[in-house]
Amino acid sequence: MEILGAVIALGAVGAAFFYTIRPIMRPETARGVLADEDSAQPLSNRELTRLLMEREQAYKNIMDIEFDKEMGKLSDEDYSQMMAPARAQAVEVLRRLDARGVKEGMAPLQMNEREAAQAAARLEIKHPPSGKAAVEKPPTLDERLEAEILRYRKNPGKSGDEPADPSPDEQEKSMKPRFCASCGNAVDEADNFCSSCGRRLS
Amino acid sequence: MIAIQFGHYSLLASLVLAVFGIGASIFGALRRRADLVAAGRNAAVGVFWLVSGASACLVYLLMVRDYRVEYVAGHVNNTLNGFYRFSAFWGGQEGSLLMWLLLLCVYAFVVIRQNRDRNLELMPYVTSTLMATALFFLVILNFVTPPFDTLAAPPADGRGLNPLLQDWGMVIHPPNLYLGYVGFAVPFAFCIGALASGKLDTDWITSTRRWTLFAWFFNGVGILLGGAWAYKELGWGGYWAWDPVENASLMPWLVGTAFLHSVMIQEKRGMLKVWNVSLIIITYALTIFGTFLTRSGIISSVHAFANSSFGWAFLVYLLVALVISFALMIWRLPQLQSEHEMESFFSREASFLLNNVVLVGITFAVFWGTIFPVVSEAVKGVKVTVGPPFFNQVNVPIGLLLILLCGAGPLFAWRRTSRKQMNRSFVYPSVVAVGALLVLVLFGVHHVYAALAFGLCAFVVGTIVLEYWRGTSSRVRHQGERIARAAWELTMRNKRRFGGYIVHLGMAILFVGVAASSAYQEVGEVRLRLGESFALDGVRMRYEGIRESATPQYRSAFARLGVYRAGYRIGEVEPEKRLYFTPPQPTTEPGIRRGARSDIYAVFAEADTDGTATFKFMVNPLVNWVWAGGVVFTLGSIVCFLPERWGRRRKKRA
Repeated sequence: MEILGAVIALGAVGAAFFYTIRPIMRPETARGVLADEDSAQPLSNRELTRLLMEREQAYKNIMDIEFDKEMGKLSDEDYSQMMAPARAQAVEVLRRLDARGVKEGMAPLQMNEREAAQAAARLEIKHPPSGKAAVEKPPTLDERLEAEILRYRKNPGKSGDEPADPSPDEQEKSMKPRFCASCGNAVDEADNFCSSCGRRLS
Repeated sequence: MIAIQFGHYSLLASLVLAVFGIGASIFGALRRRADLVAAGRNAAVGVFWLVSGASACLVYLLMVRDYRVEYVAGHVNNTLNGFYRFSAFWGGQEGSLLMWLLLLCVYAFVVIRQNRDRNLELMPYVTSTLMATALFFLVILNFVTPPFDTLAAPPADGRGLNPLLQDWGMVIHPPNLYLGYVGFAVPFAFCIGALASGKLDTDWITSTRRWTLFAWFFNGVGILLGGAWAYKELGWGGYWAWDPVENASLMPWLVGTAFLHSVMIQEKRGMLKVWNVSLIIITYALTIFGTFLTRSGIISSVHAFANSSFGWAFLVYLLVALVISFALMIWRLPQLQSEHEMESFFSREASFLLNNVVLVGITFAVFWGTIFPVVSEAVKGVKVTVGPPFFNQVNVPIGLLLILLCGAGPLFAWRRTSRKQMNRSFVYPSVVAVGALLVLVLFGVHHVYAALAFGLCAFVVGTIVLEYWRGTSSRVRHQGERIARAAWELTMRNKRRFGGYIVHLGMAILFVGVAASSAYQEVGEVRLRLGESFALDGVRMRYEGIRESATPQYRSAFARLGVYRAGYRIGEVEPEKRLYFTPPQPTTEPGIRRGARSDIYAVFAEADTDGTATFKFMVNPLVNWVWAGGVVFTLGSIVCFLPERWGRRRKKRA
């Protein structure tokens, strides 16, 4: 019985040791070099992932400011003073995404890091970086930010809810946002009231 | 014998693998060798499997009552049922250390699986940090208190489990606390990973947000369950006594709470990086310190494993961990600069920072009070014990400030809040608080601290109601939703914020319970003849008789007491006195009649031969609010923990 116990224990221990040293023994990983950064993705993918995550953070900041305004914690003056740099930051991220050929609507919103990496990999295949920088006219970026923020606010969640590549019609529609005549807040096509000041929309 | 040998060799092999894992991970990361990093990762997985195997062996040996193993003979006996035989796994020194290690290995395994293709830069250091913690426990389990040591002459029956531990509360309290304690090792490991790799953005924080929340939640629930057990089982009528080991479980929770708040500032504003790193290092150190306190024998406590003498090992490990962690932090200081300045004192950031200072302040006071007996003995040669009066005197005022911040924080906007907006936000909760205070004073609440606590809790509730009202009405206006749907959507779309508010609500309810039950507890001790009664706080208890019963584990005597209020019989309580056979030990089981307004708590102290019996009676007002607060705290934590997209209404596709 004691011998059997020792054999079983040694077997388990041996298996654990073998499993541990296997990566060193296998020719394909032997002396494998660890990449400089997160090596599961090629460099361009990683940049794209980071940009997508920066976009997430920038939109979240804008949403936070809007939420604080809605909750009555910010005066109109504070609101505009805080919104300006937050929007500038978001526009900058959009500009950099644009330079990578990633247009509004191509990548879903409200992603976590893993989903951002997956989206980046998908975009990389569909739209490899061409090296042509910022082909879009800069003024349209601000408008597109409005549209994206709206999409972010309306997005019910699941990244799959939004098609990764909307049809040109949809893109066209979301590229032309409506604004509230009273306070200038961007509003959705289907809204009857402004989400910021509550005024009825024409 | 197979299980004994398997357990023994598995722990020994785990130690070797852990050493290899640490070396391979760090060397692999420094030399950028993917094969070594993979080998280090696999070593951690190997340790997980081996330690799981060893734990399964110990549980098996306890279940089959294999008295050849010293631990089994010391913690179970022939009459102990399966439920408590299983719980004996963490009922003793060696077993509880093995459970610590098992949980750590499970966490390490899950972390490795979760991060197969992300945080790759950090992961070798994360693995090595977790394995370093595992190594420490493996050294203890292999060389100081081996759980698989055998006896030369196995006894026919074991010594059995401590009777006080034979309670469902004690069965689930330690695992809960351990889930929390060990859980803090994960964010700590990621922090060390970030410091060592130099990847000091917010990734390490976002990657471990849920881990931190998980650890913090279980730490909190563990503390509450411990309180519930003490209240129901120990028979002194309270749930918190500032016992060193209770303090040890509270301290990481307090600093963890500070960390949970301050990481939000780093995520949103890139500030307080050094502070956050320090907080998580201290939280981790406090979890090790807590484990040390129970085993060192330096402090007397109901929880301590009295006969252990390897506390020095914990201290050495603690010191090494602190030196390495803070050295890494100092090395990376230039990269840990704030990206923004604090814009205004009247901002969410400032209120969070203040709450951090208060939480750390309470922690320091608790820490000082806990170690003071040791310090005084070392310095003056006299062991000066610090009791509840010290802790209450210091912590009650700071705690009141904390409740105030709990209510005020949510009313500020990020960055800054103008005076006008602030006045608008503060007016309703303040009116509620002052109104509540006036009503309470009019109705005879004259205990200053209790009245202040009730008023401030009303302020917190006022804030939460205001936030919900503002958010819900905005959704009703703009989205055309019904109120209930709007409140649900508001919570589900802002889980972190509104889940946090629900936790605040739970804490407010809990504080009301704590304030009322500490300030207005009525106690009376009396010797009664059969048929005599005793009145306390409008409740009369009449001694109506004694009945005896026996189980295979113990013999017990119940005293039947009729409970009367305003002349009407409202029920009865049956406090019990037990005498366990193995180990021979008397215990007292209080008779509790629970109520929303107050608990009637009776302890059967002794019965004399002349037919009289001595009782201790207590009326504990609002004590059930403490447990109700715990339930709300749990709900709020679950909301915070839910996946971001869970529970939202899906938009219909056109």
